[in-house]
Amino acid sequence: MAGLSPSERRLQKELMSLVKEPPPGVSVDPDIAERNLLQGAAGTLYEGERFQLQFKFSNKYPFDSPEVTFVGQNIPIHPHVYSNGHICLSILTDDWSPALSVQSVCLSIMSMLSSCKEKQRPPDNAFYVKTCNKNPKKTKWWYHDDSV
Amino acid sequence: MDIDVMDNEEITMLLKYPMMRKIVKNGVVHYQGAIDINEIIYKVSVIETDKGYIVELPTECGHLHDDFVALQPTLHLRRIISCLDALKNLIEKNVPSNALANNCDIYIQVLFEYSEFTKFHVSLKSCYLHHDLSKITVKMLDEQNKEHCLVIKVNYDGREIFEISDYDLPVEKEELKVSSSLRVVYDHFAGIVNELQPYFRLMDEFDRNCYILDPVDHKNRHNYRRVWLDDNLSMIITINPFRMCQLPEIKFLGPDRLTESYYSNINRNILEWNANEDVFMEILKLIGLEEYPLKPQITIQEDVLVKSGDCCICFSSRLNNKLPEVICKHPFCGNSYHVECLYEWLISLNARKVFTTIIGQCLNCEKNISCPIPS
Repeated sequence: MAGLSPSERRLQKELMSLVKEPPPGVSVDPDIAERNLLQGAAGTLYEGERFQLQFKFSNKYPFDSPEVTFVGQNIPIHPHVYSNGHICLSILTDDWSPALSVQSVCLSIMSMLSSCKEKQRPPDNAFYVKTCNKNPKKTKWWYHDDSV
Repeated sequence: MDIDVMDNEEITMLLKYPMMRKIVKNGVVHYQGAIDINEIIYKVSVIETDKGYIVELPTECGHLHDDFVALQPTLHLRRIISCLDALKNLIEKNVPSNALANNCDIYIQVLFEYSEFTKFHVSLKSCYLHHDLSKITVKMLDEQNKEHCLVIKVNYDGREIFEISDYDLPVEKEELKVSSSLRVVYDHFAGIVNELQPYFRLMDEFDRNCYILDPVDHKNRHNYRRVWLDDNLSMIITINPFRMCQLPEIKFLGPDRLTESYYSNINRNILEWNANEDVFMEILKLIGLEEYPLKPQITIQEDVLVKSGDCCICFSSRLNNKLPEVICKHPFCGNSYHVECLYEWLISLNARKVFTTIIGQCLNCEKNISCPIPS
C-alpha cells in the first residue's frame, strides 16, 4: 500500500475490515463505499427497517471526525435524528477520538436507535431543518439527553 | 537559390559568444566553438535535435556531469543562447576561477596513489577509480569474509585530498581519517573494521536467533536491535561497538505490568555480568530468560482491525518505518501509539506541554499519558 497517506491507509484498512467482517446489522454498499447500510436490530422499535448512513472523511481523518448523516428515503424517526438526516451524537463532534472508527460509530448509532422508547422527531426539528448548515459538524450541538 | 543567411538568433549568439559558430552538417545543425568563462576557454559543442539541444559538457567539467544532467530537462525547446547561458552559469558557479590550473598536480597524485594502492593491498575485493577522478569505490573483505564497501572522495578544493564519503560502520564521519595519502585513509578504515569484528559477530547472532522488529533492513551502522519478546513487549538493546564488555543499554517497551519484572531481573542479575563471556548469552542471563523467544507463529489476528502493538490512531504498526513507541502506562490498558500520531492528536486538543513532552489522556483508558514532542 505504498504511496497512500497514513489517513488513506487507515481508511483502506477500515473498509477492508468492514467488507470482510461487518458488525451484525451493518453492511457496506459495494458500489458507493462511503455508505453503510444499517438494519434495525431485532426486538426494537426499528425492527425490520433499513437505513442508509453516509460517511464523509476529510483529509485530516482520523484527527478530525467523519461527517455522518442518514441519507436515502428512510430516515429513522428518533429524538436525536433530524428529518434531514443529521444526528445529534456527541462522539461525532466534541467527543470524537481517533481511536474510534467507522465500525464503532455504526455500533453507537445502532445502540442509540435500539434504546429508543418512542418514535418521535426532536422537538426543534422543523426549526433546525430550516436553518441548519448542510454540514452537521457546523452545528453547535447541545447534548441534553443521555438516556437515549 | 540557396543563400546562406544569418538569422537573428545567430547574431544574438555571436554578439555574446563570439567564438561559437553554427555549422550545418548533413542537415543537422551543430554549434561549435568555445566560450570564455573567467578567462578560461572551454570547448563547447551543441547539437540541435527535434527534442531540443544536446550539449556536450567540456571535458574539464566532468565532475559537474550530474548537476548538468539535472539541469538538462529545462534546456529543451529553448533558444541556443539560453542553452549556452545555462552552461556558463553552471561552470561559473561550480568552478572557482583559478582552481583548474592547479588540478593537474592533484590528478597526478590521485593516479599515482591509486596505482600504488591497488598493488599492495590483499584484503581488497575490488577497487575502481571513476573516470573523472572524482572518487574511488573500494570493496574489502574482513576476517569473517564480510564485505564492506566504501567510497573515497577526491577533494579538489584545497582540503586534504582523500576523504571517505560513503560507508557503513557505526562510527561518525569525523572519526574517519582525511589525508593526502590514500593508504592512510584506507588503513585507518580497515583498522576500525578489524576492531569491530566482535561487534559484527554479536549483531549477526541477534539477527540469526531473534525476531528483530527494528531496524527491518539492518546495516552495519545500526548498533541497536529491537527484539520481540512477547505480544506487546519488546526490548531495544543498544551496543557500544567499541566497548563490547560494557553493559549494553537495554530498554523495554510494553505496558508496565510486563516490563517491571524484566527491569527487576536486570537489577538482580547485574552483578553477575561477566564481560569475558559471550555477550549474547550474558544479555540473556541479565534479563532472566532461558532463551530468546522465537518468532511468533502467524497469529490468527490477521483480520482484526487493530492488532495488539499497532498504533491506535493510524491503525498500523509502521509509520515512516517507525514502530509505535508510546505505550499507555496504565495496567491493563497498554495501548500503543506512534509519537507523531499521538502528538498530532494531543496538540489538536491544546494539551499541556512540559519541557520536551506533551501531556494528555490515553484515547483508550483516559488516564494521563505523556508523549515526547517529535523534533
